[in-house]
Order: sequence, then structure tokens, then C-alpha cells
Amino acid sequence: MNDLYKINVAKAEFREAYNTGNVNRLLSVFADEFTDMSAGLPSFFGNTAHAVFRSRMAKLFQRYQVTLVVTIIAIRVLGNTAFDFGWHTLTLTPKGGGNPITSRQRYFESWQKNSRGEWKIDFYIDNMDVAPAMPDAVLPIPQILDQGAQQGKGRA
Amino acid sequence: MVVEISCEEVWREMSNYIDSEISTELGARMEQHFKGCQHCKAVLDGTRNVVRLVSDAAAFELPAGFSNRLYQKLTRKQPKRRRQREK
Repeated sequence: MNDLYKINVAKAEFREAYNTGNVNRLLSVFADEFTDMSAGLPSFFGNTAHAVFRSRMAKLFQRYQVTLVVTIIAIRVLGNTAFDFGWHTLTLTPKGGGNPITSRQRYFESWQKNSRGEWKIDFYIDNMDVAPAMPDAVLPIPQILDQGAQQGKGRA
Repeated sequence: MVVEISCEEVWREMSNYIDSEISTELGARMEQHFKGCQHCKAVLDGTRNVVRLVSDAAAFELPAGFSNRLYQKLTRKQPKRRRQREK
């Protein structure tokens, strides 16, 4: 099994962990210490990231039936380090009843191969996806930058 | 468990997938990918259309004398381009 295939297997495990609501299975894909820069949340580092992620996912799986669709654009392997990027489409169906919520994130993550030859995620970052547009389309200023500029104006 | 596959790997195997010249396991991985990836699905549909058009002889029936006229036109254009380069 080559490294590219091993990372694909680990990513399939990541998907299945979400779809079965299994926190331990999900954490088994991550290194013991990693960096988590998930959208809309503070950044967490090292073993703190591990603990925060466990607690966050346990709450999520408790409240929702989760369906994750992974679309990997590319995986690059550079020795014992690798990275991949793509999209995560997450559908959350409230267990207590209610309409499902679907969101799509663009993600980037890096992997490290440990001494047992297993690939583990040691860095994760994502942000909300935006609808595709043609290169010559008139693009709005991203809301987050616009808000920052408005706040700056207030201070001046 | 169906193992994930990336868009890059899908593009590499697209032609073999259309010709059914891949393993069952790889086929299942690609089908799973097409379900979630509109970009690759569009490439697959486009490639299939091109293959269908090329293999349909009727779609490419050329009018009588087309080859000769094309050759004459190309020959006439050639010296013109050379003259432009010399300037």
C-alpha cells in the first residue's frame, strides 16, 4: 500500500467516523498533538487541540446525525510529510427533530507519518465555501474584510 | 468501506473508467467521488460527449473537396506569415 493510498484510507476513516458519530474513531486519524484552525473558532495547539476537539465533536454527535461528503482535490506526499486540500460537505440533522442544515467548507490539512508508518493529521484549517464564479465576475469585498474596514473607520 | 480518491487521481483514470478498464475497487471509489464532486462529474460528462462525437462518423462527414480547399488555403497563408516575420 503506497503513501497516497494510505492517506486516502485515513481520509475515508475520517469520513466514516463522522458518519457513525464515533469520536474515538475520528481522533484516531489525528496526531496526539495537532493544530486546529477550524472556521469560526479560536485556534488550538498541541494536546489542548486534542481535548477541545474531542469535547466539540462529542457535543456535535450528541445533538446531530452527521453526514460528511469528502471531496479531495489533491494529495501531495513529500517524504514523511504530506498535505491535502478539498471540500467537506457536512449535513447536520437534529436528533430532536428539525430540518437538516448543510454547509460546505474548503479545507487544507497536513499529515505526518509516524514511526509505525501511519499517517496522522497534524494541522487542520478550513473556511466556508463560496459559490463558484467566472474569473471576470465582479466580486464583492469579502464580508470579513469589509467589517474590519468599517471598524477601522470608527477608530480613526 | 469505500476509500476516498482525489480529483487528480480521478482525472488520471478518467479514460480507463470510460472504457471500463479499471478494477472494481477503483471503479467504486471513482463513482463515490462523482457523487460528491460536480467538477469531476462535469469533466466525465464532457469527455463522454467528446468520445461519442468522435466515434460518430456522421458528425464529421466533410463536404466534397474540403481537403483540397483547406490545403490550398494553408499554402496561400504560409508565405504571408513568413513575410510578416521578416519585417
